[in-house]
Amino acid sequence: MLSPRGTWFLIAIVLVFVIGAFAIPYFSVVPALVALTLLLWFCSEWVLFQLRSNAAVSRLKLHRHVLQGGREVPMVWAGLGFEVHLDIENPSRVGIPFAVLEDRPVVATERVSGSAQLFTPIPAQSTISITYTLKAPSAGVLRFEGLKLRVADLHGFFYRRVFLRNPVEFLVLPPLTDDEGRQRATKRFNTLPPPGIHRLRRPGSGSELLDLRDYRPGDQPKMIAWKASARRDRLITKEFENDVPVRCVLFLDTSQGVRLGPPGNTLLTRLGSVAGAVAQAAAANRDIVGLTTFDEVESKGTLPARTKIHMINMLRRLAEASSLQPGVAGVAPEQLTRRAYPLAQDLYPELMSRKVNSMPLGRLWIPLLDRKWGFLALIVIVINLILVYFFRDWRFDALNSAGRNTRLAVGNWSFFPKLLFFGAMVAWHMFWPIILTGLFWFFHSFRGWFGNNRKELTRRKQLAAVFALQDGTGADGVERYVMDDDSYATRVAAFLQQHQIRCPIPLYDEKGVYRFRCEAKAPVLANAMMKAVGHARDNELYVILADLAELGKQLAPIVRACQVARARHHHLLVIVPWPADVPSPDEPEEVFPVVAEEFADDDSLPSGKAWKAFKRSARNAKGRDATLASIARKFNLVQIVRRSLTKQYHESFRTLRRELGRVGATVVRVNDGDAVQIVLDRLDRLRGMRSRR
Amino acid sequence: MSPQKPQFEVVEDDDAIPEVAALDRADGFAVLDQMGTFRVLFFDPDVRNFVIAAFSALAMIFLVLFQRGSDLGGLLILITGVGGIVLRWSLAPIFVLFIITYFMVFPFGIPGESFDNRWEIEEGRFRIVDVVLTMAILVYVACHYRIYGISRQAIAFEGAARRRGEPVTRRPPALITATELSTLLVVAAGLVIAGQFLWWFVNSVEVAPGEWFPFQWSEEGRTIYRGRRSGVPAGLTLGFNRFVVLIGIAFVGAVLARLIFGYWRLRNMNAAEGAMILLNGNWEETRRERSRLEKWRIWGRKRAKASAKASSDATSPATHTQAGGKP
Repeated sequence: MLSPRGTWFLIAIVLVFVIGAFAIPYFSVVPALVALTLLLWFCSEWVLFQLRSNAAVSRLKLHRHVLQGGREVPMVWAGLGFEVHLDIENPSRVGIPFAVLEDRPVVATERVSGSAQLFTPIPAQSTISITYTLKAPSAGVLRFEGLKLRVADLHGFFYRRVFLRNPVEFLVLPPLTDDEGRQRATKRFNTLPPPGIHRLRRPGSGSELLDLRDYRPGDQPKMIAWKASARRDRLITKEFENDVPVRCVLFLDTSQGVRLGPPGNTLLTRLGSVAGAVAQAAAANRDIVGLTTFDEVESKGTLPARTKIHMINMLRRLAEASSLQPGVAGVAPEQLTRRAYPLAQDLYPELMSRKVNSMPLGRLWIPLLDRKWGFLALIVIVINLILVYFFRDWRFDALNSAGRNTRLAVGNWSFFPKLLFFGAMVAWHMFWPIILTGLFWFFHSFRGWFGNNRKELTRRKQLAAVFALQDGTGADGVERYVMDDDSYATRVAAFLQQHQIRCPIPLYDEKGVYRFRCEAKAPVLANAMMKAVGHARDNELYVILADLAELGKQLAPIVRACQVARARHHHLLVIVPWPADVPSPDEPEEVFPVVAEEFADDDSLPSGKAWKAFKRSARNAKGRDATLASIARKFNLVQIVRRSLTKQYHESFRTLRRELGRVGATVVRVNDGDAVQIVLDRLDRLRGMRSRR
Repeated sequence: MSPQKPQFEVVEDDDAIPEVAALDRADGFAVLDQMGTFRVLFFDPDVRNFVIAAFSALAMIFLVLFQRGSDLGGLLILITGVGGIVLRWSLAPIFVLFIITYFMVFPFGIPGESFDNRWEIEEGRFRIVDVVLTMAILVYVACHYRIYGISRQAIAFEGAARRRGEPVTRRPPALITATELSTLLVVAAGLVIAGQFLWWFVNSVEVAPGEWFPFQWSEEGRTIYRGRRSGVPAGLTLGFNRFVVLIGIAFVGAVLARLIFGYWRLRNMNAAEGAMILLNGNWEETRRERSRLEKWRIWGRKRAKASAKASSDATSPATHTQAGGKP
């Protein structure tokens, strides 16, 4: 592809050659000779570039390896560095003198060392390597798209960009916790069970002595208590407590509300990290852990188990859940295009090229009859035709006026121009409504060839063609995505999510209601809990990692499920994620004064006449905007809104804590100390209730 | 363990250039300021070779022009060329070309003072001074663009205009190979000779529209001087004859190149690209019908949604009545 530098240089030498060869060859042949030599040089560079481009660039191959702990792995651990190794193989016999290789950055990772870019020549039949180290701070899915390759000649006249696609995904498992790391160093069985809760003691194969009883035939000889038998003069057998492992079921909220936020730092990611750490620590204590994920629609559960495979599966599940992204319902198609188009250009340059994915001018024409009032143009045309056909006076008047105008304007012209002018005048006087309507029609529709409309529609069509090609829906799919906003928005959202690109999502609907409250998740969670209670054997610990703070009255199903669980002597712990920008409710009150109190006696607030003036000015949009802007400047509206929302959130959290506390569930915030340690303490307490005498 | 003091004071070597070491010779994304450019141009040994070659070529151009009496032109070219390299002007070679063209017609730089020669084309064949001048210009232009790629930008931006945040890509000096300059000089010499031959060929062939092959060799001395206008078949002027020959060469070359590289590109096309061409063609041919169908489909969907909403509105009060009506 010719660069701007190459274009200007070519224009200049052609100009000099034309001047030298045709205008001044008898003054000096040097300009012609110089320009001809430069043209030859330019052509030879072009041929060389084409040769390299076709023979070498098109045949490059990419191989990717991800290594952690010195060996190639199919998935990586969060928080630990891993090495990305790329091999770019040039199997052709033609080398590339200058290439820039850039591995496309992966979302939600940090570069630890090395560089993902390389400036290098690529010799013939050789392999170039790029190695760098990344670290994923949180669980999720890593997607490597491929390698961007830019090739140019040494003078910058030609360039080509290709993308060596090699999409591959790696799961990032939650941070690995070692076996010793999460175990307590303090005495475990020193806690008293809460009042009203009785220990469940059963004979079993544990190590704590439960009771002594008379020997029964069939008892193992090693279980005979010899001292007691000697004392009582009959055989006595020892009974030990049953070592029942403590079960813990994690309920992880994966609804739309917790998926919001920057990639790798969402509420869901934090909850997933806590769940991963709890699962690993509990497994290290030989406890049994299960996982249930739920959202607004359904819940998926894994029964508690203790095997390594179960643990790996659970961590995979957590990684997949952590990578979920919020839906983009309500986002305008234009905004989605703005995100998706550059991405598609980066990833599919050859499919987005205008040579293979074009937009005909006819498609940009804006049809007038699609408008509601478009029929008016047709009516005007029909009326005009009726006038011409049925009304003789209309025709005579037109001829009369045309003749008069011709005599006055071009009376002294020769015959044929005069005849042409007369014909034009007749057409005008007879069909002027049609001509004017046609002009209006033309200018109305012509606008589609220019401006934003053209850009937007062209981009949309190009994206639609790529989607239709990927989906295999053919030309039907192209037109559907071009015409149908809903289908297009859904497909673009899927495209963006597949490539882990976030787009700005409106948090509030047109009525000002928060769109991500996800109240439908309450019954889903309640059902999942009831199911877990149904499967339970002994006292279990249910850890609910969910954003329940804003549910309000919709909490009722969860409260009922908690009551049932408590009635079966299960323990409940609710861990609520806390938004990073909302201060803790435990902070001093004066730091976050109540808005109403702060402005209660503020004379500068609009009141009385000022308020009436505000209402008057707010009747039109411009006045309203101006007034709101002035108020925002005066009272720092953002601060007021933020404080109000903070207060509202604190109140919701208190309500949640009160409602669930009433039925015996403990509610903690995820950043209230170490959430993992809190869960482990509760597990220990459960364990203590069983084994302590 | 505290670090021990060196027993001898370390004396910096005056000849060493610490700043050069600070520049990463393999990094092409670092944007150079003017001082950085000076350091790269004059202290990086590989780049310095190109700078010396470019300056030598400019000096040669100056000498040739000076010998022709165009000292002012030579000076202007020297200033433009050196300034272009040092201050990184991408258009400097183009200005140099135009200046040379001007001073070839007006050697003293004064418009109107020019001398034509009816035998110039014939005498201008393989003239040593012209060959040297052409070679010098070609070397200067090539060196200028290579240096520009190293000091400012080697690869064009991806769109017509630079995108926000799009980095400038330089060619790192570390990629310059040992044989690069010598190869450039050899290729330049070959191209200069080829250019001379091409110019001779263009002026030795004339159009013969009536013949079975439309070109023929001109007789000795027929087409090379200015006065003869009627000797060329079909009454073409000499300039037009030259024009037709050149257009013929360019056309044949372009068609050949297009055929070869176009076919090669089609051969290299991947399956997705080929499918996209078919899809695009199919859509372009049938888009009007499909558009009409889609409009009706969307209309039907909206209508179904509206009727569903209306029916739900109609049934919901009845449900309330039924539920609330129970005693």
